[in-house]
Amino acid sequence: MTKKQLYIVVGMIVIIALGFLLALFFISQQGSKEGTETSNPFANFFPFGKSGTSETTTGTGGTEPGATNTETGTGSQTNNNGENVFPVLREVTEKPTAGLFSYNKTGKTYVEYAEKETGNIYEVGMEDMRANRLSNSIITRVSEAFFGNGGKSVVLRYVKTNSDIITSFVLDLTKSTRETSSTYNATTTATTATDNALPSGKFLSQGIQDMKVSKDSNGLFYLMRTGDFNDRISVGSIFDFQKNKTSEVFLSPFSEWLPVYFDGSTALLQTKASQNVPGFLYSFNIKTGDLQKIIGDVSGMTTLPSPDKQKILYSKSNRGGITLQIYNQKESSTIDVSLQTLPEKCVWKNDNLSIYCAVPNPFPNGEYPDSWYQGIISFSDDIWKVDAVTGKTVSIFSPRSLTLKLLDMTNLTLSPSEDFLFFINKRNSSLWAFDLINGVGA
Amino acid sequence: MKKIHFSFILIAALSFLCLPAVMFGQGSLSNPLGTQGASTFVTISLSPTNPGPNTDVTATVSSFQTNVDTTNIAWYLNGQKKLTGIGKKNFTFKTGNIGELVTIEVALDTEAYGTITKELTILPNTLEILWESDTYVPPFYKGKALPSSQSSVRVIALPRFVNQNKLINTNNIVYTWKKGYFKDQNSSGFGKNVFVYKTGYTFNNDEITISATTEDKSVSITKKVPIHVYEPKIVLFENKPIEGIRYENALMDTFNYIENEVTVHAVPFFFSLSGLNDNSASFVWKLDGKNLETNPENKSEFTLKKPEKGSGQYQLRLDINNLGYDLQTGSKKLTLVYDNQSQ
Repeated sequence: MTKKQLYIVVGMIVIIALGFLLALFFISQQGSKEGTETSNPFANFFPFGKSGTSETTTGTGGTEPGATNTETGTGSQTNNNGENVFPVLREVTEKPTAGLFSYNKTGKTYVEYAEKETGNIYEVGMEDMRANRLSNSIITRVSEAFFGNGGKSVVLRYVKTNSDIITSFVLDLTKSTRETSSTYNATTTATTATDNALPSGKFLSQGIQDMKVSKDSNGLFYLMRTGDFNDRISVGSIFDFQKNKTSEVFLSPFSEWLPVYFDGSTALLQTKASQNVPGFLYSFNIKTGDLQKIIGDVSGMTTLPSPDKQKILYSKSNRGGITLQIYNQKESSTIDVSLQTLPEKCVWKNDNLSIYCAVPNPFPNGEYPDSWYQGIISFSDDIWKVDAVTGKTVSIFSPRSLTLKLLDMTNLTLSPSEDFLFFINKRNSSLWAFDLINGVGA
Repeated sequence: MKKIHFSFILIAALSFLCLPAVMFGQGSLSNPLGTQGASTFVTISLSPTNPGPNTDVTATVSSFQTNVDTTNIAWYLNGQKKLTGIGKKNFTFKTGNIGELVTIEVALDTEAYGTITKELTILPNTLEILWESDTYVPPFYKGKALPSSQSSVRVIALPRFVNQNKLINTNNIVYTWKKGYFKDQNSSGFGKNVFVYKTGYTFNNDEITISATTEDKSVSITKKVPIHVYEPKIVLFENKPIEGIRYENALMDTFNYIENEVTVHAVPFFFSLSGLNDNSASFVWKLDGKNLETNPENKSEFTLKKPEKGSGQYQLRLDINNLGYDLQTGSKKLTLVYDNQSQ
């Protein structure tokens, strides 16, 4: 062996040893974090997701640090111009969230959400991640929140202690000024409710089972049961947020309906799903009272209609898994989607042509949708995009590359300009945002 | 000669046997027989067999007289030629709105018999069967409440019948309900579109048959629905003091609790209970084998304080027995682990 060869061999050994030590260092750092995933030891190496020291409070009286800084990606970094640059995947709040709504204000994307613990409503701008509180604490232990009236009203749903009866309170947020259309309005600024200004609102009927806000967010279709089991009747009503009026529109001897779409004149009603029970989707015409079947006899079916209601993304349960399909009402055609997920984990783009879906990876064997509804199985998702015409799918991002937290995504919501994808992590009800402009392919 | 004769009889017999499947297997089909003698050996079958309104249907022609794969076939929809060609034995079309008559006709050019035609009319009426049970699921649950042994089930018939272009009111239809082979006389009759019954034993299927017929008997559809009887089950959740019950995540076999106390909330899925504090159910909580006293007004929950020092674990067990429902029982175990040292 020549001297030159000896140097090369020694040099290679040194490089390999250094690489090994570096890998060990990263693995040991990651392993010390409790409750985190261990499959990606280099997760912290990525430029996204590591918290900075961004302070999110504002000077106004009702402002609180709703947007938290955590190790998983809320914090900002500063670019060359001294501006805050936020990670593409952000934990908007780690506080349990009951519901969310996204809107544009002065051309910028905001998300409004309801805290489960307090019923407080916050808004967070995606540009600066500042959180403004829009209401005071009046209702605790909120399970669900539905925003309507362009985000100026919110229905907070909860049960009283030792009771199963659901109470629904419509909170009026109009005292908090905001501009909710997508048009630019430089003069409009957000203000916050003061601690003394108790938000106004009204109670809807007790025992409302399920509800769906209309596409334009002006109305609400809800269902409740009346009568004993043998004579049970399901009553469907519409609540107009602006007129503050309720009208009964639907009566049915069957009561296990789940409203999945409402546009003011049509409500799509799905039968509640279980793995081996055939499911149905009906279209209810509010004006004529006509109830027509759209899809039927599909085991364990759950559905997600497109914004124009012409296409229906639906799941079918099979042995331990799920198959996903899109039914086109106009063409009476069905296409397969080669992803295993539930429609509740998806959101349609406004063009009715594509869908973003949170897809469990891996997909555990189970009784679907029951096991997921019952909290027996939790997922860890990646985001995929589906072409609703061809059924072709493309991977958008895997959160594992950006955060150590496992994300079981629900309540997927696109901002009006479709630059952000919001979702609630079912594992702890935290609220997240993903920057679709800068983050696709991450 | 005898052989030929036998074959002919066999073919004729088979054809005859097949015809009722087309004639009577589909409640909304009418006069599937052609008027020509030869056409009696041509059959049109439909998939789905009983198409509803606005449904894609595939019609398939078959014949014992001629090889349809080598025959020139023409298909007509409401009198208009839609498809023609050799071996075109399948034809897909869409039914119209409810009560809208669709006529399909098929013409086969045969060497031996000339042109054989066959016509079929379809009147899309529908009968859907939905059902629900009286069993418990928690508030905000998006899934179906499943029937368990001895629970009550309501079966609801949703007919959409059209006669002379008018939608018939569901109250003006005669319903006949059967559980198994037995007709339920009290539940059957004019306008009786809901049938309530008690389920049988766990894991069995209850088979319910419903026939819905118009007063003039012009429209009649019969359907069967199997209703499976499930086992009730207990699922445990954490009830957080401020946030509330975490229905999103069940407590599975082991739960590490770090707060000073933990409240475990039990959900008796698919027990026949009107509410959690329904007095017909007994909830027996045990900690390391010893019975625990719980609040009778909140018997579905148990709160456990964490010892101030040390580490260890408790074995929690819950037994639920629904009184009056012998087979509605369940039990659930949970290991609660605490560790003061690691905090």
